[in-house]
Amino acid sequence: MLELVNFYLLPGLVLGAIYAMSATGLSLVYGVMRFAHFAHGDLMAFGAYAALAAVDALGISPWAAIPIAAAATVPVALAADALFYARLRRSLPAVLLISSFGTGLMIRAGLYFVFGPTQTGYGMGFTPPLVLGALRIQVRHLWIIAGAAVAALALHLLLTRSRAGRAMRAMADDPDLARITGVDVAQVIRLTWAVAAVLVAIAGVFLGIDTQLTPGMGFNVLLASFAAAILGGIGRPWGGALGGLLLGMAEELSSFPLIGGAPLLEPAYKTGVAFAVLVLTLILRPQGLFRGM
Amino acid sequence: MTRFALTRRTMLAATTAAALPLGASRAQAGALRIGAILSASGGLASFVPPIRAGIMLALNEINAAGGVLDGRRLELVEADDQTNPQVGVQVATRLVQADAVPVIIGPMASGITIAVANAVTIPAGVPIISPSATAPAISALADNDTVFRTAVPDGLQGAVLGRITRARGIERAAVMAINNDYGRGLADAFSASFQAAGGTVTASQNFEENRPSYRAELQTLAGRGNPQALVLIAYPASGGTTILRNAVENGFFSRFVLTDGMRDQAVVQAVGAQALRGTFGTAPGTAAAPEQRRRYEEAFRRANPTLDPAGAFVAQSYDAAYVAALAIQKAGQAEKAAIRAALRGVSAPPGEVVGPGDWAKARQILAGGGEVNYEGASGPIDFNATGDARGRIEVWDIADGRINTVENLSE
Repeated sequence: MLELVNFYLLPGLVLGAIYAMSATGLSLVYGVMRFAHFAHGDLMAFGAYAALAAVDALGISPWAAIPIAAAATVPVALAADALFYARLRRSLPAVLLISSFGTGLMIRAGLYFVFGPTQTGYGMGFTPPLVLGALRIQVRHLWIIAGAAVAALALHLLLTRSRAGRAMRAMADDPDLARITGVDVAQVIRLTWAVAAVLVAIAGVFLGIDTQLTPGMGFNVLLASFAAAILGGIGRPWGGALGGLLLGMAEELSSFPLIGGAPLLEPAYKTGVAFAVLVLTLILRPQGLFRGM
Repeated sequence: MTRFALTRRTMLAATTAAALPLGASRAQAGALRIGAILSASGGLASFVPPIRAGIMLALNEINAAGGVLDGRRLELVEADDQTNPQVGVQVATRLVQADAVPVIIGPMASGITIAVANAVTIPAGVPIISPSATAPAISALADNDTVFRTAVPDGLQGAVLGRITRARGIERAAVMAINNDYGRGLADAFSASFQAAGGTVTASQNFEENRPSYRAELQTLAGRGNPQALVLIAYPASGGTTILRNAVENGFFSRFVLTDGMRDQAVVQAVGAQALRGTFGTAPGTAAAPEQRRRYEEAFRRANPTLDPAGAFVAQSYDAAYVAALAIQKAGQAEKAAIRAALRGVSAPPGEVVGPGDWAKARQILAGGGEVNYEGASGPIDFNATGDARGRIEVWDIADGRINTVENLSE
C-alpha cells in the first residue's frame, strides 16, 4: 500500500500538478480568445530554458530562477500575440491554431539553435528522499506540489477578487457582451497572455527540476495538457487544474502492479490511458467534468 | 531493413515467371555478367543510389585492374524489386533463368531476401549476397549454403550482451526497453542469450518515449523477483537518462547494463559518474580496420563526390561485389556451385589479407595458387557457417566517469 503512495500516487500528483499549471493557461487562452494555443508547450520549454540561462549565468538555484523565467516568458507570449495572433484574430479558428503551431516551432527552433539538442539539467545532483515514517518523498516534489497549489490560489484570487480578473471571466462567458459593457478587450487579452505565460513558465521550470531539459520537453506534455483542459471543461481554469491532476494520477496508477507483480497495463501504453479517460469523460459528460459547476 | 511476408501469390508469380521463354539475352562475349537485385523504386528507393555506387566502384576498380579470370570485364545486370517480394521473385527468376548470372548481389530487404531465396535462388543453387538484410531469420534458412550477407545480423549485440552480463556475475536482471523494433529486438535477443547462460529475467517491460517520469515503471520492475541489475535499452534524450536518474534517485536499481543507444558521455554527465560505477554495455564494434576503411572512402569520394561512403549499407555493398569477384577468381570459372564453394574461403582466414583496391594483388596471389582473406570496407566479412558476415561487438564500461572500450568480441 505504501508503495502505491510512494511510487505511483506521489509521482502522479507531481506530474498532475505540472499538467494542471499548463492546462490552466491553455484553458484561459481558449476562454478569452477561443483558440487552441499549440505553442503552449514550447512556451513551457522556453520558460525552463530561461531559468537554465539564469542558473548558469548567476549561479542561483532553479527555484530562485522561477521569477526570471516567468518574466522572460511573458514578453515572448505577448510578442507572439502581437506579431501573429492579433492579426489573425478574426480568421477561422483553424488558421489561428496552425499559426500557433508555427509559432511553437519557431520557439523550439530558437531553443535548438541556442542551447543545442542535447539533454541538459539544472545540475542539482541527487538528493536522498525525505523519509516520513514509511513515506518516501523527494523534497523537490513537495515544493512542486506546494508551488502549484500557491499558483492556483493566486490565480483564483486574481480571477475572483480583482477587476481585471472579473473582466477576463466576463470575456470568457460572452465576448460581445463584455465588449459593449466597456471591458478593454486588448487589455484583457494582454493580461490573459501574461497569466498563461507565467503559469506555463513555472510549469516548465518544475518539469525541468523534476526531469531534464530538452527543447521538445514542452511539446511532449502538450497533448496531455490539452486533454486535461478538455477534461476539466475547456475555458474553466479550475477545471483544467483538476483535469491535470486526474490525468497525471490515471497515467501513473495504470501501471500499478495489482495482480501478482505484473503491471495492470504495459507502461508503454499509459499515455493511451489518459486519452481513454478523456474519451470516456466526454461521452458521459460532453461539457467536461467541471463545466457548469 | 524492412521485412516483407512471403505469400502464396509470390509462389504463383515465381511459377509463372519461370514458364517464360529462356535465353532472351545471352552474355556478350568477353564480359562476365553478375546479377544485382536492388529496391530502386518503392519504400527503400532512397537507399539505392549510394549502394549502387558502392557496387559499381568495386566493379570498376576490378575492371581497371585487369578484370576477372583471364581478363574478362565484370558487368552488372541490375533488376529492380520495387521493394516488393512478389516482384523480387519475378526479377530473380529472370536473372537466374534468362540472364543466367552465376551470383546475385542483393536483395536489400530481409523479407525480399527470404522470398527470393526460398522461391528462386535456393532451388536454383545460385549464391546471393545481401548487403543489407539484417533479420535474424535469414541465418535460419535451409539454404544449402547459398545465402550470404555482408550485413551483420541484428541479434548479435543482444547475444553478446546476455552472455557478458551473466559472466559478470549477474543472475537476475530486469529488462526495460524502448517500445520500437530496436528495443524489442534487442530485448528479445538479450533475454534468450541471458537465459541460455543460466540467468533469469525477472521482468521485462517496454516503455514509451519522452515521458516526464518513469518511477512507476521502475518500481514495478524493481519490486518483482529481486533483480540485481537493470538492463536498459534506450536512447538518452527520449527517456534513457530520465530512467537512470529516477532509478538512482529512488534506489530502485544500483547496477545498470546498457546498449549502444546509451553509449554517450552525456549520459555519464547527466546521471553522475558515482551512480554509474560498475555500469557496462555493448555496441557494434569498429568492424573495419581503419586503413581498409580509409582506402575505400577515398576511392568512393573520388568516384562519387555527391554520395556518402558511410551511408547505410554502402560499404557492405562494395564488399559484397568484391567478395563475389574474388570467389569467381578463386573458382577459376563463373559457375554458380564453384562460386558458392569459394565464397567462404576468400572472405575468411587463412590467407593473405587483401582489402579494398587490392584487386591486382589478390589476383596475383590467387593465380599463384595462394589463399586470400578479404578484409573489407565494412568489416572483416569472414562468412560464418550460416553465411553471415562476422561483426564485432564492443564491450564498454564506465570507470572514473569515462566510457572505456574493454574488448571487441565476435560471435
